[in-house]
Amino acid sequence: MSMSEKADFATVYEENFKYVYNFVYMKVLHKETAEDLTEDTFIKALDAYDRYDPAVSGVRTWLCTIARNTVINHQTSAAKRHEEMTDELPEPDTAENNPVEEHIEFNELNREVEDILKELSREERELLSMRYAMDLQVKDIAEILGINPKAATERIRRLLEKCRKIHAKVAF
Amino acid sequence: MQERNDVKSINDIESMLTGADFSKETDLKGRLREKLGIAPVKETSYKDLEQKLSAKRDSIHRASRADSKVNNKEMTEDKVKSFGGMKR
Repeated sequence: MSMSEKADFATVYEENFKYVYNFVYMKVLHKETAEDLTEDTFIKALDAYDRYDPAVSGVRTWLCTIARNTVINHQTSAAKRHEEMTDELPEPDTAENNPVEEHIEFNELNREVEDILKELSREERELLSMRYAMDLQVKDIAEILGINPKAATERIRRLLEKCRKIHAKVAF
Repeated sequence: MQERNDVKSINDIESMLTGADFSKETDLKGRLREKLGIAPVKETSYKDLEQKLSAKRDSIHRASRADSKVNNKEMTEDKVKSFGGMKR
């Protein structure tokens, strides 16, 4: 696809909102934070859309990179704020430390998936959200993460097995 | 902790992760569209499609009736001609 064949931004937004929101939500597991970061992502994307070249990457991969950086910046700032407030190093990133909103009218599938995600680290959730929320190809995920595609495939396989075990042991 | 009865396979887990849609829990899409200053892409509703289909069906029906009238007229004229010689 050439620059002249680029879809207009409204179409990009309509077609990709769901993917971006789900990607961000699966990373932060907090509705208001996911809304703020999704908004930031699309504002940045709109601003940069003139410079986006479809020949270089697919639009979803491009949006994923923006969303990922937006979330990382947010988490870094949040960690800094936490450090300033407590004058201590931020606590390690464990599932217990991640902001997880109480369930609010989630449908059954969303609730089950969220129960699994809560047991994973941010990095693990990131990998799964790239593959399943953003529906990116493994080669694109590997490129974004700067790892070998085979390593990405193996990480995803191990993570799915972990998810399967978590799901089997979820407390009632 | 209790073991679930419905133990899932890896494929089931993949389907769950693919099927989960947290965007259904937020009204951000509409609010953000306004903020970005973009008009919603017009989607053809089922009602629109029904109306278009109905109009198309009517026009085909009218064309078919018009053809049929012409054919009937031609056939009648042919019949008169063919039976004309037999009239006494």
